[in-house]
Amino acid sequence: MNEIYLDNATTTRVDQRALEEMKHYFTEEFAAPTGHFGHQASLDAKEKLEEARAIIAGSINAEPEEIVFTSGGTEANNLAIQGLIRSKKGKRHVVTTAIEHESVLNTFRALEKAGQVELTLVGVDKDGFVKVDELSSTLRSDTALCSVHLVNHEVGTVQPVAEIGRICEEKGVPFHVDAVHGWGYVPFNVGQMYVSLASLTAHKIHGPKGVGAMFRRKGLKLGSLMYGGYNEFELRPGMENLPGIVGMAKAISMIKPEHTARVGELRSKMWNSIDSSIPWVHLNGSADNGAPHILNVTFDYIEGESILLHLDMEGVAAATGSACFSKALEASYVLLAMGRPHEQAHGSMRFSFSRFNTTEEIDKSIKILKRVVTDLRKLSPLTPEED
Amino acid sequence: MALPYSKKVIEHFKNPRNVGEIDDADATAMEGSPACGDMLKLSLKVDEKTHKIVDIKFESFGCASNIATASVLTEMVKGKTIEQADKVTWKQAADELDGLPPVKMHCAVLAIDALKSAIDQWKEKHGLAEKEPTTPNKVLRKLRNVLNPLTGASIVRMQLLQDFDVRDGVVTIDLDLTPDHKFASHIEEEIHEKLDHLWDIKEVKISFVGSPDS
Repeated sequence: MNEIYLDNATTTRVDQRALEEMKHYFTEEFAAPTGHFGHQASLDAKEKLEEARAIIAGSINAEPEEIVFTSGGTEANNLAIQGLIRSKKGKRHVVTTAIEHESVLNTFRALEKAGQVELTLVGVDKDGFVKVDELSSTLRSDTALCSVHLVNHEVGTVQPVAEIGRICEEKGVPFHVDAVHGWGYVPFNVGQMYVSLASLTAHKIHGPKGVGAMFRRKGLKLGSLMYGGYNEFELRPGMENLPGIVGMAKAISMIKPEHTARVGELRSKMWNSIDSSIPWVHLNGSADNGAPHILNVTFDYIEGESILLHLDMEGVAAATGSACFSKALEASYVLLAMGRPHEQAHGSMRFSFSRFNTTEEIDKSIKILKRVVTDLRKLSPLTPEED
Repeated sequence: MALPYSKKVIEHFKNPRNVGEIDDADATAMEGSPACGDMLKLSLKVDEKTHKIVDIKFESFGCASNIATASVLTEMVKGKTIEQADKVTWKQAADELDGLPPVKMHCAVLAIDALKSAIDQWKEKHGLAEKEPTTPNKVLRKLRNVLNPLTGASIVRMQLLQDFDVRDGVVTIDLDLTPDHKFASHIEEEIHEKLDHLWDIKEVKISFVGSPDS
């Protein structure tokens, strides 16, 4: 394991207090939370399940019965999008952005390929903000769904979700928000933002892996994607992952505003040090309206996988948008959609922080990063001659 | 779990040999482009009499495999004659590193391409190059250096070439892949890189004719 973990947008360390609380539901209160006319153990489990549901609902200003537990963000996105389309007859128009997470984009693409939807992809500006005017003009009377993420997973741009929600509300289009990257870090209020469907996951906020939730506004009809029992409002059959759900509720309730502020300071510190001590760098994303935990930087003239490997060998874990690192040998589609040239996408690095990171770690990372970038630039035929 | 790289790859990546540019080089070649995320520059110093490569240096914009293959190749050919160096294959370069992951095999191809370009340039300068017309055989030879990153083997060996033809400076290639194949655009780009620059080629037309079920 790396000494310094700066890849918190991929996944996070579980909060010790969340883990402690979960343990009890593996070995002591392990009964199925079926409730109703079951035995006492199941009634107790049901009570705990509903307590967790209320906490998670409260964190986004929803009603408890509007929360459906899933296996994570990908399942929540699939259930929201496919579930809605399943409840509609005939081909429908759907709108999303070019920089959504694959679990949104590929779900829409699969529905398009199956002839079930007509897909419109809306572009973004150079900082990764959705073009709201363009989005607004694509919404039609037969648009079944508009889906926009809260925070971009690669560059951390915070989308104008409230504004988009208002437009969708006016045009009567259900609005889905993939809030996986952002929940716990930036304000998210399903009432104020006119959200009809939303996706959450536990493991990005120091909860366990394998558990997430979908918000569904009361009265909105969805079809289930799996056949089975009648759990989770008949939308998601299968035994509820009570320990995971308990961990998820505990994790979100542990997040305090001062944590977010501190994480934001780490991000600012990292960017300011990079910007002032390393030449030929670009911030990818928004300086003023970026999520507090995600920093994406391009280092000109060098390639991201090489940077990543060198950092890794020195004990720093980060991520890159380089094609050499991607399973399809393609550079980050997010950066390309933002109009960045391929070479800048190849040289991009994502550093993402959590409240477990320290300022000392940032100082140490900067030192290592400076050396790595300098060494790789000495190797590069593109590096300009020093004056 | 360890990285998917051999110890030798990591060793060359960490301590690349023969880095830099020869000031009074007899030949220099640049292959790839920063847009592809892979680029290599080689410079050679060759003894006129013996044809021996007395010095070779490289610069790289690329990933660990790119840096490692370039580094190992400079070691392999230093001291060899131009004629010997011309025969080194990408497979040998990869083997010298105790292998590369399939998805990274194209890095070895890039390094060999850069070496061959530099050698061709030196030969041209010394009146040893033949300006041969592009025959189907030559195209096939070039296509042997286009790899499917899924397997790390050439598209020729993997029998992905359904059909190809060279006529009046136009190369037409039918690939047994669907247009939405994961690596379709990557393979297309690689083919253009290998063929577009040939002196008598005007156009390279690539079609993806694979059926979705195959």
